[in-house]
Amino acid sequence: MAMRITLNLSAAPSLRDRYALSWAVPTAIVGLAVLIILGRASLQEYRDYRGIQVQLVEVQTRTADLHNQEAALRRKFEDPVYRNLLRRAQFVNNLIEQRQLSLVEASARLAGLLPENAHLTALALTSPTKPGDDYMIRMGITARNEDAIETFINDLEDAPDFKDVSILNQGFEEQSSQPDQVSIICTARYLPGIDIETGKPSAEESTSNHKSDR
Amino acid sequence: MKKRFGLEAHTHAGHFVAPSFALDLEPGFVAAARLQPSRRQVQSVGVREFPGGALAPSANRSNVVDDEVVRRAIGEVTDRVGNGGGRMGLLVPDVAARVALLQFETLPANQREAETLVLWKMREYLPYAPEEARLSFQVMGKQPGSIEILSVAVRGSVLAEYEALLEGINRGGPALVLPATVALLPLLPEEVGGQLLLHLFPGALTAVVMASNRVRYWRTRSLEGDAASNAEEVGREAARVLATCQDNLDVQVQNIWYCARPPAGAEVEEALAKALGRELCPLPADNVQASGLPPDQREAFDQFGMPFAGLVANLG
Repeated sequence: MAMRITLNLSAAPSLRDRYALSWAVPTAIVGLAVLIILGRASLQEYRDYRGIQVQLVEVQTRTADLHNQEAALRRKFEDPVYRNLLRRAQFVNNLIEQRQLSLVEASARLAGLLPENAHLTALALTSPTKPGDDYMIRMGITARNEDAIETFINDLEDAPDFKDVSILNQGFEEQSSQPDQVSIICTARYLPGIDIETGKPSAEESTSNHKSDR
Repeated sequence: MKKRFGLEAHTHAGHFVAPSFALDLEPGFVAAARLQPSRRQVQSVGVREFPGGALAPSANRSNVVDDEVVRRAIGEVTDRVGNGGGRMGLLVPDVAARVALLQFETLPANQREAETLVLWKMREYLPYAPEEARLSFQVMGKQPGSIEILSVAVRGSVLAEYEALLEGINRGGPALVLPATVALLPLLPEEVGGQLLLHLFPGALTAVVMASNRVRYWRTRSLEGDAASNAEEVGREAARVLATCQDNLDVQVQNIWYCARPPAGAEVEEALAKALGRELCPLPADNVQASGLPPDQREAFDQFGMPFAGLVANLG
């Protein structure tokens, strides 16, 4: 076999180069398409960004307006006329909060609840220790029989201006002249401003509270 | 490695490919052939001569003196032979290339690193910076601790001139570029003894010695004037080569193959035979089918077309 030469000084494109060249155009087209898609997406993103930016500017403008309004209101409230009005309103509110309970009214209310054969033997009123608490009434009731006590307790529980009725003790006075006589000591929370008919705060109370809110 | 040797810029060459159309450019003529490698057939051959001064081969200088003349000759011969548009081969004058036989203890497995190493070792053969070379090499023999390389290099700017001449003939440039004598090597029959190939062409004589299918010696000698006026010098040069092979390479040359393009005349052949004391044998092209050529093309093939036969024969 004669000698085989493998030499070649040509720098012509190799098969791989030709393969690469043949794919260059499709690759360029695909690349261009991807570029267009990316460009459109970027444009859409930019438009969204611009829209959000406009909204943000609007919100910022509105916030600034609100700040200005707040500042104007603060300036207005710092005006001596309004400060004086505020002081007076606070004074009225304090008066409402410090309103004294009429023991006569409370006694009359309890008397209205007592049946004929029962009478009030003791009454003590405890003021609320902190704002929002209710008055606590401690009362002693003596009746000829247990039914009268039962009637009173039921009426007391049904009364809208009394809550949380609890009986502290109950006893029978066997050594008294009337052997069936029954005595109890009970407590209840008293809500003086409640309308007895509707069970809601009375109009006078609501009005006064409404005024105090202002 | 490339950075260490400063060889980053040289162009890497490819491997042999069978062309379907080949051009052989030499000072004074351009030969073309249409080949059918699969059938090992030369289908058409043509030759156009032009003034020898239009092409002045050199390893490191501009080769094309008259671009228009050479282009016209190339165009005419291409039209005559017919360029099928397939792979194109270009054979350049031996003088434009540098060929070296190199020996290495080992070569890197990586082709590019090996190429860089070969180029670095070949730098002393090149009259220009190694990074300007376009290189191709072939392993001739491999033994433990010894690798023999046949290396061919052409300056990139020189090769670009030849490739520029082919613009309009072939798209993408030639797929194969070789010095013309390299294309003759596949025509040499394999024999145990030495084979001396003398290739005489305008402006130079290339002598190649092969033994056991390995190139053992390569020398291209430039000649002033035509072959007839250099008959004695050609004879002396051939005799020197023969003596060198026998004395230094310990190669006993059995056959001397002779190829002169264009035919150099009887006086040159006689001078060679006298200087060598041997009979010269024409290059055999028996395994290449060229019998179907018309008489005029057959004559052109016999006188100029041996490198084309070598390209076809190289396919096995």
